[in-house]
Amino acid sequence: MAATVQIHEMSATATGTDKTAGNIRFKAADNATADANDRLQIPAAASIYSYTKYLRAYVSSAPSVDISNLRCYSDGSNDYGVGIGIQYDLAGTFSANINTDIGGTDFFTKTAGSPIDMDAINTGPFTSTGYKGDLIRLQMSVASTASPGLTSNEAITLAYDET
Amino acid sequence: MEPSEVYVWEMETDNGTVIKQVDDDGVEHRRDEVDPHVVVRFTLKPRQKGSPLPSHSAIVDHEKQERYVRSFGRGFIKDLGLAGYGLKEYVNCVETSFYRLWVFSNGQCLTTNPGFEVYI
Repeated sequence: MAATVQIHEMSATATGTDKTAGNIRFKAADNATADANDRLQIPAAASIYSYTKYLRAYVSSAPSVDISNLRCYSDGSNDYGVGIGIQYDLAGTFSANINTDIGGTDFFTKTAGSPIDMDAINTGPFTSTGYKGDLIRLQMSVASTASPGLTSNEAITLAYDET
Repeated sequence: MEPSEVYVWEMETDNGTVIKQVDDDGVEHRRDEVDPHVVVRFTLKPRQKGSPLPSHSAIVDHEKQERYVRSFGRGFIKDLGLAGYGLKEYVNCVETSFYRLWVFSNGQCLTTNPGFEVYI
């Protein structure tokens, strides 16, 4: 049988929330609940930042041999609108989420042609169940030029190789 | 059926032995049980009997110094809409010293050079 791999979101603790049956919402609070609470407010000037979102691969059923080559990428198109962006950085371990500028890289520059290496710090191959590879920390920025209202959904892809 | 379960592999060695991912007794085998140096054929077959999906084979020509290198599956976890994040596609790949053959879960395939990566 093939392995089962999930995307988990870490909020407040390193124990994550399985996002198999949900999505991810950037907000002004440190939790993994995708609701309409704790909305990001457009600032009068400059930018504000959401609480960061740590995402990590979780292997819930083990592979026959191993899992390796974890990669993550966007669709390359920021459809959130003017003044709204997503930045990211990578970590080997979880640390508390923050709502100040992480100074990361524009997530939308990472596409299928140039994916993010998600096992650069915690290197594979991985043979067992549990959290594997690196954590990607995502953060939404909202500038004073943004328009109010709900944004459209954006795609994130996690890829892995299995033998 | 999950995309990762659509195809099963089968390898034939240079002495005619055929090793199936799931043998006739239902026992599942690991790819690393087979010495890659002796593989002369790698085939992906639909797991379900009677499936309309095609089988795909890579024939390894040892006389032309071609060698089987490895095979693997590549999973793609994406937003499935209301169902949240899940396995959207699973592409099987067999790599020889000459090329890579990528087989998608809908039966389509793609041949690339050995160093090429497929991300969708």
